[in-house]
Amino acid sequence: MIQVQELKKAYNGVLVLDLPELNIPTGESFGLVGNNGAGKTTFFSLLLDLIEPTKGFIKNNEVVVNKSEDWKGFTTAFLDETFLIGYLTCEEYFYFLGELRHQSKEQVDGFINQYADFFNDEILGKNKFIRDLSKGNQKKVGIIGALIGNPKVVILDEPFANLDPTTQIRLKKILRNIADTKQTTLLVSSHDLNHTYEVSDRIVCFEKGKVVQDIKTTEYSFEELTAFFDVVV
Amino acid sequence: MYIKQLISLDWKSFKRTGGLLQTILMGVGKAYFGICYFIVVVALSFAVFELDESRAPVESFFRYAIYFWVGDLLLRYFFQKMPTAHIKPLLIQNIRKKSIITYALLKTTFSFFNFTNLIVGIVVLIQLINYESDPLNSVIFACSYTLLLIANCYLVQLLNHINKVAIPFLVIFIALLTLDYFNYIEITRFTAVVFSFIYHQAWMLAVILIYIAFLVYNCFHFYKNNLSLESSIIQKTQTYKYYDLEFLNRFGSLAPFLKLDLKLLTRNKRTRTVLYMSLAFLLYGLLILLFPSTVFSGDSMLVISALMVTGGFMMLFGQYVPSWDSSYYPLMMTQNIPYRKYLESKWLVMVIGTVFSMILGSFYLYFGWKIYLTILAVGFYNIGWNCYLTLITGAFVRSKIDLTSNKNAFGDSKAFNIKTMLISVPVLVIPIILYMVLNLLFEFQYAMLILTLIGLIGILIKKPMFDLIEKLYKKQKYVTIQAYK
Repeated sequence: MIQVQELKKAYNGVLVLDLPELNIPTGESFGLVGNNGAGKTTFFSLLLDLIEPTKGFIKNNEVVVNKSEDWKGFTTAFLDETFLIGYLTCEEYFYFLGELRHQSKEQVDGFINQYADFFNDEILGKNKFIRDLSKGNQKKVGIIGALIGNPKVVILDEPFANLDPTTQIRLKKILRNIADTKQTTLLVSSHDLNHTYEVSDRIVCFEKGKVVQDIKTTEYSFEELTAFFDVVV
Repeated sequence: MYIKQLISLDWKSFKRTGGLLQTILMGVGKAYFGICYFIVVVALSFAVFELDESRAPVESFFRYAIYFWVGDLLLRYFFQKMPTAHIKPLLIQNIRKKSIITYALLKTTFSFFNFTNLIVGIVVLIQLINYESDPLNSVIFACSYTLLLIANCYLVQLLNHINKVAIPFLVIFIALLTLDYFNYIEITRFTAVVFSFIYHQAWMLAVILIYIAFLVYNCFHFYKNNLSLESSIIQKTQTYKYYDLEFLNRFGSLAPFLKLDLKLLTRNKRTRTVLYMSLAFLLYGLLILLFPSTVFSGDSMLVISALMVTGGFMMLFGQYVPSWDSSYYPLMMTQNIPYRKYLESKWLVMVIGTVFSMILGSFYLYFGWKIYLTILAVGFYNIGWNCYLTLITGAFVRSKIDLTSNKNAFGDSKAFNIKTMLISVPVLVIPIILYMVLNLLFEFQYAMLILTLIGLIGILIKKPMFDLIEKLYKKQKYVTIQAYK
């Protein structure tokens, strides 16, 4: 589904990301771990054509992302609060995204209702503007917003950060369910191996912009993995 | 000593925002409008003495001094920047709140308006000595009057934060003065007495000083009480009902954006200011029609007012496309919408705004069909050409807009400032030239017809124009995303 070729990103001559090759097959749940500044967000931003590659390219379902806009039809993402529209209520935000992804209001309503317990009664039907929600609740809205409309590729940057433990567990279940369908390519980054281990089929570790580990989670126990990543994570 | 550090912070924030070219352009624009304002004010303060030929010059001044005061207050209300300091990181540092506020108030004291007031004071002094023989009283009065104007600097800060009071206050004041101008009621008779009293009673200077002190004291306390992120002026979280504006669905794929823009305009304080200002622009033509003097007359003034009447919203909204969406720009860039559709929807919002202005402007028919015909023709020209032009200039104005910045007392609460008026220069100049040339060559009706046709041609070439605009925006895409971070 996603093919990276000779991808390089440099800021003022300093190389921050250097990926000679990386392939993510359709339906894979892909976990990205690494320290601050390892290049996780840079990679996602390149994938979403928010920044320009210095060299090389990324193909998303055979679409070169910085050449054509066609990837927008099947890719969704939630990177940070710049993916939220503060002056909408969360229902309006979901309907807005739904309209862009050709979903009727009823479809969106039905979809959101599945996640009623994830929202924990604090968000839906409250008629509050997103900007008035707490940081954690905003994040929940953003994550669920990214799942609307059966996207083929979902990109979530640090979805677990800033959430309370209960919500983290619920989120893991939601993401695991999506991963198990094998229909959606799910890209999730995290500082914490713990979370990615449960959600992802494959974990890749970045360090200073390079891939330093690339492991199938099914083949190892969590302890073994921890040992693998001990060096860097 | 903290003040010194605060100044250095401000200087850095000024130096490190935006590109160099943008800073220079904006500087030039600011200087241009500043100088214009300055010249107009100085000329007016000379002229006010001779305004009413039936009265003695000084009497005439006393009568119209109130207009000056209100004008100053009004301009300040819309243009004077509120004191801003980047307080959030400062709040928990070892800086006394007193220092932060003192610094902020000090900063506003060096406002350009205060400088202009000083010059007005000098002009008034010269004129008074010229016409009256009492130099001592003249000097004291000039001081009093200048201080009264400078006091507006603080009055406006208080007004700005009590919005519920401010707008009605200003509206009532202007309404009274307008009624006065048309001799329905005579306010200026009373205000003339007041100013004359200030002139003859030197001790009134002390009263005015106390008035300033009172305002400064109140400003200080207002800021002190609200210098926290959770201050009382933060409105309580409101709840809003979902409304879905189904009728806009007829615009097809553009509908989601139109709905979004409508909510953008109505739900944020900054964008609401745009709507209020557009209404004010709608009345711009009255300025020329009701005050026919040698300064405001002639054809070019008529076109300018027609441009303002029909294009107020277009300019105020358009100059900040796509900056209005700056807080969620990455979202817009990754959704299932081509860039072109996004831009087209913004264009449509401007067109709808312009059409609305043309319809609302129909009350100008009262002043004769010629005037309204001009407004219509210029309106079509605006739709045809200026909407594109504003979109193009908007691509270069990449200022991150915090829609909710009004929440804090120290937030920059002005959506409208002098530097952004710079972009309206080509928008204004080209049609004025066109109008003059057309009127030179043809009769008035035909000239207007041709202007309308030129506008319609602009609408017809939407496709190539949008090819150009899309290319331009796409080229700017990464820089823009970066600038909004």
